[in-house]
Amino acid sequence: MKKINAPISLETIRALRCGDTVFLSGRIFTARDAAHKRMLKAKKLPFKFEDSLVLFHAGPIMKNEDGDWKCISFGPTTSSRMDDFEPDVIERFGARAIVGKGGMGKKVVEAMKGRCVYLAFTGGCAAVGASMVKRVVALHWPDLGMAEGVWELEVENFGPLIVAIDSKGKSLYKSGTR
Amino acid sequence: MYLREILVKLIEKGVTHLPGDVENALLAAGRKEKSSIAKANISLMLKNIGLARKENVPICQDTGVPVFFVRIGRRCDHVFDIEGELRQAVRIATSKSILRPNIVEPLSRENSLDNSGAGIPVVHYSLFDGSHLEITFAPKGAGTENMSALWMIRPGSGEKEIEKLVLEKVTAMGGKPCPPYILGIGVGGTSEKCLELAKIASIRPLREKNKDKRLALLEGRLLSLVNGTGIGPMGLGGRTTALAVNIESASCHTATMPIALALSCWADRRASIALRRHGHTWMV
Repeated sequence: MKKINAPISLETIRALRCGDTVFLSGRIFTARDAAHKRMLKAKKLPFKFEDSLVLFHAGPIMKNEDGDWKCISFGPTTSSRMDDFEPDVIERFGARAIVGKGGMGKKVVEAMKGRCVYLAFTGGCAAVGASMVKRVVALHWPDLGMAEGVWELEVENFGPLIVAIDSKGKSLYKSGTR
Repeated sequence: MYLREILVKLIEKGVTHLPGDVENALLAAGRKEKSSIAKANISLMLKNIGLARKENVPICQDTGVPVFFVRIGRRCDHVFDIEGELRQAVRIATSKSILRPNIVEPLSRENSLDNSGAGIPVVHYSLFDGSHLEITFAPKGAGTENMSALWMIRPGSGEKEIEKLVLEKVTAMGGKPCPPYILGIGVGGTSEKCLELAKIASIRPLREKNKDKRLALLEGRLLSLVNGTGIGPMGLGGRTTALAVNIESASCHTATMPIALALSCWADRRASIALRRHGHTWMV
């Protein structure tokens, strides 16, 4: 079991191996299909991704209480939907960790080599997930809606996260990824 | 209690409280697993089920498409605007952050923000011999919904062909539909009937087997085959890929053989109520 902090250093990423368990603290950004598309179209991002370098495939349930957002339910979505966008997102924005469920395709695994890892969080565990979100920092691109917008969150000891694809291209997924 | 309040409570219970048979099946699966990763996944699922129940928050952030099965007693003489009431209850539940706003217009992808839409909530009706109403809420998440399938195979293909199809599909799905899942399989009927059979099979209580002996045996064989793949909890390897394989069947045309697949993820959410009218109020 390892504790890691975002933004994660390249050295830490390269030392992680398939099957390792990690707990993540710091800043994270959620992104699903629509956000990935928009990130790739944007000339400049409206948020500081460099403060985090962690992309979390998720669309939480948030509640607005007198102007403040409260995270009600937060867990991963199926990562393979982002297969077509992720190599470019890794290349352009330097993502060092992608958190999701179900694994990602060969092209993504290739793009991750030497610089990025895929961390699996148990799908459906959104009550536990929300309990590890310490602060909702902001909602970016609110026009995309609650599920598809980019949520900037502060998490503490988020896990257990399993290193399911490491930076050497090794993967725990035997099937279901193309 | 007011009817609408009862329906909102049904929705809330559906997304926050996992049925006991599913929790027990996960407990048993956790004991069977050998790998530490498989064990860790299942123990997090169990922790999550407990926390969601205690805090009354959704088990999974994907509270799905609202789907209801309404059974109307033939002697029930208080049939109300069921669809309208369910739609209002869904809107209230969304405004209370019990449901995530998931419903969009299919081409523009514009979100209705209240989980209602054309044809949504989905309501299935049937009649039974009784004097009350029964409503089951079974929210349908996208992770499993995207894996649904219908095949029109060669008539007379038989059980071996079904085993081959299911195994190929299970391998292609891997960890995407949040295993250990419940596989619902429709055999026969017409194409649309077959998908409905698969859907009903996917939300059947876990211990129930098909009443037909031949189909019950096929369920057992398929379960062994699926768990023999080693895909395991969340696709990260292990002994439990499915908690159950359930088949529902109907007769079909002599020249057809429809096979359909529908899944419930491990968060196999379903909640039911029986409703009776007493004067101006409704009793659960």
